[in-house]
Amino acid sequence: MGLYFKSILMEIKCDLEYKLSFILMLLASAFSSFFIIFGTVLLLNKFGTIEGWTLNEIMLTTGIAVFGHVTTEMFGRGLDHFYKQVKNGLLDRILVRPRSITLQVLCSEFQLSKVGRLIEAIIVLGYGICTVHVTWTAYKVLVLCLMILGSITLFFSILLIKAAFSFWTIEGMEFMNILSDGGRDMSSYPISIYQKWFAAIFTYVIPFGCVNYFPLLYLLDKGNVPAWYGLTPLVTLVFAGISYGIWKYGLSQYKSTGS
Amino acid sequence: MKAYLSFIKLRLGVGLQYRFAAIAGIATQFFFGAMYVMMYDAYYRSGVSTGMEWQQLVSYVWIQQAFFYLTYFNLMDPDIYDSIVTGQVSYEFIRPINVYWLWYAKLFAKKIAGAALRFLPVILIASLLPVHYSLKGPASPESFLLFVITLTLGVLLSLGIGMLIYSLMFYTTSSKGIFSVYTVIAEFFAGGVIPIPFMPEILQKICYLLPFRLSVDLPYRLYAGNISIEEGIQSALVQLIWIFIVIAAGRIILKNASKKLVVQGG
Repeated sequence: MGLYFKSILMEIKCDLEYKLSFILMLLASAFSSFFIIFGTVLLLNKFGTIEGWTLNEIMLTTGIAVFGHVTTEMFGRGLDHFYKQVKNGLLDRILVRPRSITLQVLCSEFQLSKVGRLIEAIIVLGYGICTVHVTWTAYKVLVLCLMILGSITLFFSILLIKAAFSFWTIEGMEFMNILSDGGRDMSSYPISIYQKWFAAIFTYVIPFGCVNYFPLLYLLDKGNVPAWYGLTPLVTLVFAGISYGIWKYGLSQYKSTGS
Repeated sequence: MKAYLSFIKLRLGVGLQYRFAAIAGIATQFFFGAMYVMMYDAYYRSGVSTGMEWQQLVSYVWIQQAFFYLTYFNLMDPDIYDSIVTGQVSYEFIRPINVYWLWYAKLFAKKIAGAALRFLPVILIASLLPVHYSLKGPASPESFLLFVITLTLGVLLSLGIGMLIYSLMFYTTSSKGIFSVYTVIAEFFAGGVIPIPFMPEILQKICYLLPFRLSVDLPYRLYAGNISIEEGIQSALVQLIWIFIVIAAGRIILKNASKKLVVQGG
């Protein structure tokens, strides 16, 4: 863990060397999600509600989705770009070092410029939490924390699967963006607004519904759901376990192409 | 002219090599299209009347996804970018061809190759969906003709704007940031995030003042029948004026930049 923080610190120092460039990247990262969130606000402003969900409720789900997504982008960039390391043979260098491979991959990149988006996510999330009508109890605070942590776990697992995929193919990585970027945009809304088959995929295969819908129902006292609905974000741990399994399997199958 | 044409041909060949990437692209576009259609469907169920009929909106979403690669504002080309950053660009200036048009041709070919592999499958799948969600034909033969014209001009325009940004890269070392900031702003004011009719009036006015919507909003809404033919013809003329402005400006800046270009080391 000490090693990880040391390498993050190094990456941060690197980033800060080019000040103007850094500020522009910061702005760019903040802008890109700003306009997507702004678009959602404009739509809700125009239509009033979506399937009965109001602006502050949607801001809560959007905040959770963007927060989970940007946190993993910041810390997991190494996984995101892992296919490059496979392609140019850097992975071989990692393999011969006497440290955990997963740790080294995570250490390889850290994006401080995403801080702009992180702050934005916190503001949106904060707005959602403050304006939504909930009588807060200790259990409900726990549920909210689980939702946020579940979102991070989910996006992180998706990145891990993406990285593992590059053991088999490095083409068409765009496809995995469906799950990461697409997942963020999709889970900005409660999953119930989509068609049944679509919602089913993103509940049973990739458990977005367990992060942004079932616990939300309990949190907002919608539809008299039992209290255990609040604990459904824990399902993401199963998903994380599976993705770690795929990653480990891929790693054990890896054969270098030689130099 | 011959040099540029052969360059386009070469690049097209390279672009068409990446078939698997194209399949991944099609799947991505289809996913986003389906997601947006379902999302807007949920919005439309609230019954609020908007500037777009449901069928027009569905067509807008699918056509936008089908031609996403063509009209997306991100013109980042690693080759050109690296050549400027590493100084390789000096070789290009030695050659007896115009660097501006060389790059323009490069970017153009990249867009065409990317879009050529993607748009038909997306259109095909989208038109086979259940009626409520499917892509319908163009509003009228005239609007289809105008759609093709404005889409073509729109691509030429967005390339011109992209070249303007590339020319500015000679004056700064932080070009990646400039590129990203430009891409997201252009995308929003072009109607790429949400359709312009859904925006409040002030924002709509801003969108109409800027050139970006001429590349995205205009052709797609013409196809959907949300913009009248007369307005379409007028806008096509506006497109021509903008194309002239951005290309002229880009060429002047690039010319000045090349005069000041200092190559270090030997």
